[in-house]
Amino acid sequence: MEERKMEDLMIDYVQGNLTGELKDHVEKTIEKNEEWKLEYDKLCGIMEMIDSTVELQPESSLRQSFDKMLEQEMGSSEEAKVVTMKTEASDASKWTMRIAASVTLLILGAAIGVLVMKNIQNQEELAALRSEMEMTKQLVISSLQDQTSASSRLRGVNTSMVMETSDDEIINALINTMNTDENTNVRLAAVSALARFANEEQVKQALIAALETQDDPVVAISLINLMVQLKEKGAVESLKNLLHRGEVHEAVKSEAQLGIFELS
Amino acid sequence: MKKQNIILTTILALAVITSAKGQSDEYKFSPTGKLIVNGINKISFEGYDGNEVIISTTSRSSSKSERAEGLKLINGSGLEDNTGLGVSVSQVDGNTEMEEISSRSSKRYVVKVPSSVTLVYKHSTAHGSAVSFSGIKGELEVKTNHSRVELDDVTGPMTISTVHGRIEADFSSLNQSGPVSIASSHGLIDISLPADSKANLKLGSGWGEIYSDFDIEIEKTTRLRSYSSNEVKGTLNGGGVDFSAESSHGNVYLRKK
Repeated sequence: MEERKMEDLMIDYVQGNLTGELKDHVEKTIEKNEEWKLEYDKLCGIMEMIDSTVELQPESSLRQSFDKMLEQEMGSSEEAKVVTMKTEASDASKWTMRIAASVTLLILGAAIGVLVMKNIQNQEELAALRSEMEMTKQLVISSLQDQTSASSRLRGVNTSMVMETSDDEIINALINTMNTDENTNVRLAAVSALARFANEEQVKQALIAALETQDDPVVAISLINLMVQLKEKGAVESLKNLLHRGEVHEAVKSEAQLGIFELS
Repeated sequence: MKKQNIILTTILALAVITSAKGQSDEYKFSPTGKLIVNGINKISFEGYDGNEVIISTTSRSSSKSERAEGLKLINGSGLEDNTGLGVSVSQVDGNTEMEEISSRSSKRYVVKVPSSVTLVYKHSTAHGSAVSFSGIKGELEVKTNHSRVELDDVTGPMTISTVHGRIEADFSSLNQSGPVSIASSHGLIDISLPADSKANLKLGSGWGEIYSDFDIEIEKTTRLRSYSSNEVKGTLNGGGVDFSAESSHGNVYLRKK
């Protein structure tokens, strides 16, 4: 026990933490005892080594944030390991603490390595997913603009149906297709694709607005029926306006009357 | 553009030669781009393996009176009878357009179409009664107002729409290269498909009924049920090309053969 105490004191002494009586006591012991002298030299060497290592180690704030990250990111077993070492270190002497700290840092380094690798992998997977979505999107948008083939544009609209969530760019492209595509069937498919998101305000308003501007009778009739099926009372005003327009196909007008009757 | 002019001139020269012969009821040409046929009332199309479009008319050009001898039929659209058959063939935006000069014509036309050519037929007036397509292997686009659409020995891809007409389609096989979409507002739709056809199917009728003897693997969706009262979505033989047939007011029939 006496030896243990002496060792602790010596570490403090080497670190320059001792003053007064204790400092004198240690100094004397080193002078008197050859064994302690050797121990002292050894300690000085170790401290020097540790000090030079410490310089290469990250700041404590950085380490703390890593600790935090570790706790968040790693499994409970790994977390426990780190915590245990910390507890030991706080009980032990500062010297042991330093060594423990460097070991911890070593483990941290390895853990960081693992984490970084994992992160890269996750990011790669995410990027792959994202690029797949982006590719689908670009495929849809570019095929909607293919003026040479109606079936290619139709395929584009159908492809957009695999996307479960609405995307502004796709929605806008579909609205444009519904209103301006030269092919009736392509426009109809766009109406079906948009109907999936009819509960979204932007889409609903575009569908209602299209009632008055749609110049293809088959598409106009399909839109009126969609409004009836959605029980969209907000469409009544547009349907009434439609009746008073001159250039509207008679079949569209009678459908509008049916629509007004069903929705009022 | 220059090349097209040369082709057009050749077509015109050919037309002059054929019409000069006087007795021929046939006109041939090599189309550029799509073949777009606008508003010819009585017409039927047949697909074939050749390279040229062949227009023929069954009735003799007897309507041309002696008084019109040496004159050409003209109309307000600036169309010219450059085929000698009462139709004009011209190049518009890289495609070949074919139109009838006189809307009062009683002629019936038969057009042979190469299987590599995309055929577009549009008819927007109330005068038409029926248009038929047989053995068409290329892409087909049809849009009519009143005309009934009859499709026989067809494969797709195709987009067919009509406001009042009925659509009858007999498929010899189902081409997997592109979708089929058939739509009518007021007419019924009657389709026959080979039993082994692979398709992602969508049948719909707003106010009518849907009938079929196919084993459709129906995809039950809760999402679409809210707004669509009568719609069947599913697959045929495990799924394949997108195939839709929808009528707002007519019934839809899908037959297995």
